[in-house]
Amino acid sequence: MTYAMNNRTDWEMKPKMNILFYARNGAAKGLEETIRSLPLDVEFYRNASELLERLRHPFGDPAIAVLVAESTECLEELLVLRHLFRNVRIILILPERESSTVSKGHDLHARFLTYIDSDPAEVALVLNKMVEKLKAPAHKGL
Amino acid sequence: MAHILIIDDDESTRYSLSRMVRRMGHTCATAPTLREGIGKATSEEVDVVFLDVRMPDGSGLDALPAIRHTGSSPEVIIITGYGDPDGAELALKSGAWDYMEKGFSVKKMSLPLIRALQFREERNTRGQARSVISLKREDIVGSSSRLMACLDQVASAAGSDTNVLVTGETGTGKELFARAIHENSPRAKRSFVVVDCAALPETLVESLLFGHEKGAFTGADKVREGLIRQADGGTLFLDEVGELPISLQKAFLRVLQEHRFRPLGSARELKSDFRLVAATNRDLDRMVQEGSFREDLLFRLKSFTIELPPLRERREDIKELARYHTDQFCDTYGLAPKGFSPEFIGTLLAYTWPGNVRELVNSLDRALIAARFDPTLFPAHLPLDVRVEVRRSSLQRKTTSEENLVDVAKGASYPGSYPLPKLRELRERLIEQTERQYPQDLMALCHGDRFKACELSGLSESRLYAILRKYNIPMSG
Repeated sequence: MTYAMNNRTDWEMKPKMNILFYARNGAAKGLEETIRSLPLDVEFYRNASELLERLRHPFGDPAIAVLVAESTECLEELLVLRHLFRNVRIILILPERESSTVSKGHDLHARFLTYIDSDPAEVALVLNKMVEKLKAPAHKGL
Repeated sequence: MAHILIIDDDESTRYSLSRMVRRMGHTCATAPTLREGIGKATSEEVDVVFLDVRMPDGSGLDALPAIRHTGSSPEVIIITGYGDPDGAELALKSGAWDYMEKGFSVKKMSLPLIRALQFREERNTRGQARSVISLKREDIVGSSSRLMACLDQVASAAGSDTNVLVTGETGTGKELFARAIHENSPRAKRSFVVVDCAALPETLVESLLFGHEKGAFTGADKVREGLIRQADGGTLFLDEVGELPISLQKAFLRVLQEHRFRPLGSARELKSDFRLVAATNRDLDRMVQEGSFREDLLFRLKSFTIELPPLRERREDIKELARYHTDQFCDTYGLAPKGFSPEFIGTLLAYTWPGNVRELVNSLDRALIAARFDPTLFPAHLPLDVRVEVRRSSLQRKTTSEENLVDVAKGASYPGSYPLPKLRELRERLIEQTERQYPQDLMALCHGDRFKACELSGLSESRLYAILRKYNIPMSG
């Protein structure tokens, strides 16, 4: 799905939370299904250019991105886009447990970091808690 | 031998302090005005400055940041004949070494000088402390005295391995400061590991922090390395540390003391050489009193505390922040750079920003959505709640002053003295003022579109009609 800035009304009607899910070529199917089953309005992206296009448009409201790096190459691509995630809370799913990969994962300053073969329910729990927290009145803004 | 500068318009103070300094074996320079003092602080290698508050050409407190940021970054001891607690607090928060009243004996004045010189010598010996000027401070924007004092603390913290607690209201940038400590420390090449205590469900925190062996508990079908271990050689950032479950605090305290821990289900202990930076917007002292936070853990965390000011206490940074973030957004979104109308800046400066820098950044993002390709940002581009709040408070100020005039004429003023108006009358008057102004702003913002006005205001259509009719506001659209 792509999100185009068609007109001002579209943006103002958006829900007060932006949740993005990115998994290249439909990787992490189980996790995607789990996220789809949540009562949250989530935008799904399957390739880097669509994700890039979305990140180049304003959020206006708090944003959370669930990013699946299904390979180290994919993780490198995400690191290149790092500057576009400045105001986005990241949940990062890494392809493996190698310390060099984990170390690169931390360069994205993810709020939660897990692995592609871990229980998808963990991500759902964390995502729900993040959304809850960001919707609290104390969190005015992003 | 150190070099001391005395900036005071009172000749006798300059004389007695100079004598004291020379007797202590140091050299000394004096200046009767701020202008001359700043000039000497800039051109000479000064270690400590005695700075008077009330100077003929301005306030010493206002000049404090400029003096602190001269080449030799001198320590500043404020001296005043009119000591007041607020002034002392402001001075210390702005990075002064000490705040003294002039009534003290020369001997008492010498003590803070000795301590400041000792601190300076030890810091220079360590040779690790960075000056604020050379600090990497990505996305930390501003040059107010309050911000510069915090950056000074970042520079000090980066040069040591002590635990740091960053406190401040939500949205003040605690994570940015934590990252700045890491980026400027010798650990910068290793990982900065974030533990978002508020986002992690209680059931997961322990296994995520400490890690676990395969089969340690139901569902642990693979070994997991804990975040504490992943921070080895780097920095462990415990965000919203007040949310750390009390059941885990004792175990974490031990990790903090010994830098050793045992993953769940493991028979052996692991080591991790991490540096801890924690952040909170909660009153941890109060949590200790209430029994929801361990006192011994708080004691460890508070080794070095950086208290970030809310944005309303560093308003002078708002324009720079707005410029910086707007430019960043325009660059990201491929938009031409935007200009600011004076009214746009005026509105930003007038608003109280309860959500601090985060709310400001978010509002700028939303302003860009509203402005799209307009080359200049106007208040109309800002979120409605910001504009309404600014308008409301300006009206309240105006109304209060007008009412005070009337009340004074009647021999009574409110607030602050008697007789008070009846609460019901006051409440009705305020409601009427708000009800009159709000729909005008609302309809102007929505260009008369009633559907959009209902959406934005949360009013039902019938209630909106009723209010518009009551105050004769046109129902176009």
